Amino acid sequence: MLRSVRAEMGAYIERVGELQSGILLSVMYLVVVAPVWLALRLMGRRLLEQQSGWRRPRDGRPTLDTLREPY
Amino acid sequence: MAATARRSADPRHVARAVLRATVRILGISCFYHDAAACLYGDEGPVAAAEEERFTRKKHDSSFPARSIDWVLQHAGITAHDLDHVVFYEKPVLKFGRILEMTVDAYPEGVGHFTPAMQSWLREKLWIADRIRKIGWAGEVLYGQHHLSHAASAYYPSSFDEAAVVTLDGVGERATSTIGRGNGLELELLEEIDFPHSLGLLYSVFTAFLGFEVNEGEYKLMGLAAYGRPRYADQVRRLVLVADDRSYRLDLRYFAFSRRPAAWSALFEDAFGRPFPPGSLEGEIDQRAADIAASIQEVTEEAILAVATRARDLTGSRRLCFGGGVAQNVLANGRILRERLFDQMYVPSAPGDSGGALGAAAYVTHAVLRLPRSRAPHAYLGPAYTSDDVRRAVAESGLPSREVDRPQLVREAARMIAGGRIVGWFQGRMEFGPRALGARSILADARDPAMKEKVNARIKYRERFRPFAPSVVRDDVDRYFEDLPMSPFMSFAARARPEVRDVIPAVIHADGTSRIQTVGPDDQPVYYELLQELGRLTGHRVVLNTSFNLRGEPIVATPADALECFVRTSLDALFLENLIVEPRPMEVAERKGERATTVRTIAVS
Repeated sequence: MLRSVRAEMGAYIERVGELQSGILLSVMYLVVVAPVWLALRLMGRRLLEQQSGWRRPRDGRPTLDTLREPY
Repeated sequence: MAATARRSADPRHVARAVLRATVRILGISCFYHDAAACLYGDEGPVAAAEEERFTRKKHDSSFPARSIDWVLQHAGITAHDLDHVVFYEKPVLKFGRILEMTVDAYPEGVGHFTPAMQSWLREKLWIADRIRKIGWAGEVLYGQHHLSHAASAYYPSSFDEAAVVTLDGVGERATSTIGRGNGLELELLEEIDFPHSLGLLYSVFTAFLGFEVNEGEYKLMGLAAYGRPRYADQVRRLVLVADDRSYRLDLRYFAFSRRPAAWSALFEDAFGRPFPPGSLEGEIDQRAADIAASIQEVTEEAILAVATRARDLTGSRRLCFGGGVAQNVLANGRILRERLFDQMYVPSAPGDSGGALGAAAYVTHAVLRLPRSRAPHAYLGPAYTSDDVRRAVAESGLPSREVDRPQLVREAARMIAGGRIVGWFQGRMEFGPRALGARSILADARDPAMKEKVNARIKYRERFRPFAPSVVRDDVDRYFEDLPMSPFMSFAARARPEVRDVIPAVIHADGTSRIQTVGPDDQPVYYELLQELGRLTGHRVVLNTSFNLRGEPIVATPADALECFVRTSLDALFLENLIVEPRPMEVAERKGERATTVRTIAVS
């Protein structure tokens, strides 16, 4: 009897543990992963979307000094 | 094959001369497609070649070690004798743009990110270290991708001042630029940045039609002649031209770096199912032809808008046009026809290989203030001596006869006029994608069946692709409308109605031709051949197609030419001063495998 109660309790605790892990993972996803993902998407999209139309080149007539730079 | 490829790549097989210039600048382009090296001296470009010609890998993008070896050996110098070495773009800026693209596409682009990063971190970011391995101990200079294109278009031109337009897939960030050239000065005034790119737009459609990107754009252009632009309005929704004559892509239709295919589901809603790779090699598919005609039409409109902006911004009546999109000969012809400019120049290598020349030209003229040479020609590659040629023919075991130049020209003209198809290998190899009478296959332009004959026996190309003519410069008005000069096959022009039945083999379905004009100073022996053809046939015109097999680079060495000769059904090979003929009873080995189609638009 005691053994069966223990087994049932154990299974219950395991289920709760799984549930808690699941909840923890979901919370982690919502709090950490999703915002980072969204921020990256928005930032990237903003960077790309902003780049339409004519704009002045950052260095339209390079000199020997600026040609030395790989960036 | 492998042995021949190794032999042909041997840089000892070159004509040598000692470069007596006071300045020696090496330009290098690589790591995207069509890697190349160019040695530039006081008198302009001394030597230039694409790496693919030595490695025999078409569009080889790897570091151009063999091209560098060759250009230095051609000049009789080593890397220690150079004054500057300049790479054609800024790698760190480009790397930054690729990181931004990855962020934008996250998490979809992760699959592309890992291999791209491996290549960048292993090789591309450390280009200076790789360059030092050639023996160069000095500093490495870095041009800008579009400035290199602009310089390759402006400095070799004969113009004192000009508007300069470059349109390409993407460089560091810019995809399109407008600049102004004035004397030794060259300045970029405006640019449009990634992802808004006419080059990438055209490549997306190239891949959508099942053609290989960076190779199949010509096929799309050829196919356009068979279609009606009934999808033009749909394409105009993808690329929007603004009042200031800039353009932008509607990004909802594209998936650059996100999916293996660069178009989105919305794109497929507009144009239907994509065409499987290689599916358009047989009969002409009308939907594909109509899509091709539509993207060509809208691309031309956008190019005209940019060209108009360039004219208004600079006030110039001359245009220099560079970048990969400048290989769109139909658009170039339209700029001429619309009379936006009085004169226009497109270099022999407007794409990335020409960036090597442009980067070196910019340092020479804009930075070091050395005068421009202004004698543009495309014959900057290797040439071979009579001894080289005799040795190669002896190794091949093929029968040959040595003749003097007048006889060589007479026999070639007689064979061509008699309906034969010949290989023509004379002088220095061309720099750029077109065969211009140095490494060409030639045939009679008057024979209506010649296109099919050349295709069936040698080139095995899709039947919708046209063949081009070479025409003596003074005769061009007799055959074509609105074409002043086109020494590098840079322009398509309409054939006059009265000659369409006279030279049918070189006139496309839409009545246009991609023309090379030949003057006596361009490639003298080629000019003499056209003269002789004129005496025999009354027409100084010849069908000129590149001397290569399908899927292979244009031949570079006598050994390459002989190998191509034995693997095809060419009737004769005019190899410098030797006439090589097939062995009796020789059965040509046909090569019929289909090229692998790449459907991903590489933007890294």
